[in-house]
Amino acid sequence: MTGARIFYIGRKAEGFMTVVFKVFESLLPSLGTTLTIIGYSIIATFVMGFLFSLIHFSRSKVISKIYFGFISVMRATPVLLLLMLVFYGFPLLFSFFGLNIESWPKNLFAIIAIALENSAYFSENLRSSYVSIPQSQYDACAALQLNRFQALRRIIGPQVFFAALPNIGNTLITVVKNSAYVYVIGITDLYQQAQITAQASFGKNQLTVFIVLSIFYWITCVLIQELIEWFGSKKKWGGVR
Amino acid sequence: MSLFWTDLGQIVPNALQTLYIAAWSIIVGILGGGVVSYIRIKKIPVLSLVVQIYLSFARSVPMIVVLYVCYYALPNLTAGLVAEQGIRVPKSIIAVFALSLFSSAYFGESFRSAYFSVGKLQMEAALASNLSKWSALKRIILPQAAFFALPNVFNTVMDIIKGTAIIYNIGLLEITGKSILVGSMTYQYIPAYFAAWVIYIAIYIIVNIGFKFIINKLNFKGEEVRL
Repeated sequence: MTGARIFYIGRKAEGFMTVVFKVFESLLPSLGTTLTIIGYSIIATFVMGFLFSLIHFSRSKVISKIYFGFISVMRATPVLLLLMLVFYGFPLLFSFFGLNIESWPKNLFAIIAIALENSAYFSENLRSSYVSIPQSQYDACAALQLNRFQALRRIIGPQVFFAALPNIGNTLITVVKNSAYVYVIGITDLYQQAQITAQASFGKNQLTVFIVLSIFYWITCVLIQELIEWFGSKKKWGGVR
Repeated sequence: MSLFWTDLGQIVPNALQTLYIAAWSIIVGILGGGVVSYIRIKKIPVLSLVVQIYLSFARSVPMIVVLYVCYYALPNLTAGLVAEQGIRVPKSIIAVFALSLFSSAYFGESFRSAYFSVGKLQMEAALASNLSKWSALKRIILPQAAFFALPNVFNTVMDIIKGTAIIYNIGLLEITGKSILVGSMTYQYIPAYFAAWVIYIAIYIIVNIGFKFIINKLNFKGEEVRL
């Protein structure tokens, strides 16, 4: 009796593992799309966010007003809506200048939208750590006759980087999370593939599919977290923590 | 342009759905966040570990995936046990549950950091001035902790309001879902999405003003606070 029962449970568990494996296999082809979007979005976010954050050093009131307007708008916009706005709005916007960008790949629009949204956050991360660097550091740079670029590169930059690191980690994770929404403009990413797989089996494996999917994302984010912590341990001086 | 105004008129009523779900998620999230931060602050042995795993999960998994897990879990797991189709709960409860899974994690972390930023001396000073523990907490610690927590709470509140954009996937028509619907009726997507955008920005401005008002009430340092 008990033997039969154990056998039954064993068969059940085996069946479950087969399903998990099958789901895993069906999701795998789209992993590349998602990782590509995540990778390029992270790069674009870094570049754009860094450029935006330099506005902190400008003394123009108008520019800083525009900057804070941009930050507020980005903080108010769901990335889902922004993706659609970029996808449908950018071709229209560019057509006013006589440019036809309809043929651009969808992934590019996705990357633009995710980078726009997150560069606002990234820029704020950097800006808050510019502020956290004591004035004496800037004064010392001035006293050593370093020009702005040298000061940023050698003195301020590294300190800013390590002060902003935990927040940068948060922003990176947000990028990963946002990449799940690119399905709205018709990209078959990991999430969309999961939907297809869930529908394909007449809804039999729905739950398994989404649990496997969440584990995918979880692992990605844990890896990013570890990477950020590893970077944090590379800091060679004490002081601001 | 006229299409924009008609679209706006059609989408505005659905802002109530967004705000309704968001409000419940925030209320549940604050309660859950209180529990999470209590467990993390007191370092309760096993629960603390469980909460850490939960925090890591809630931080890393996209809301939409968790929404679907919640949406499918109950009917699938109870199918054949209770009823033929399994237990069905109203969609709004599932949406609130999924969103508060996130808000609890974020609120919990902001409460914890706010608690630690007040400092032990404040409590000791309050007790030394013969305040009871409860009134020290109420009059000295909480106002300061609330002041420190508010910017983060504002961020989380905005994240939740933005997060409600996904719940049209399970059939609740909020701002984004309605704008997609309105857009697909006329095949003019841009005015509809623009209208939705304007509503989100309006909500942001209102919430921002509300938080600025509260933060200025609590401001004991006299510094300008930018949310």
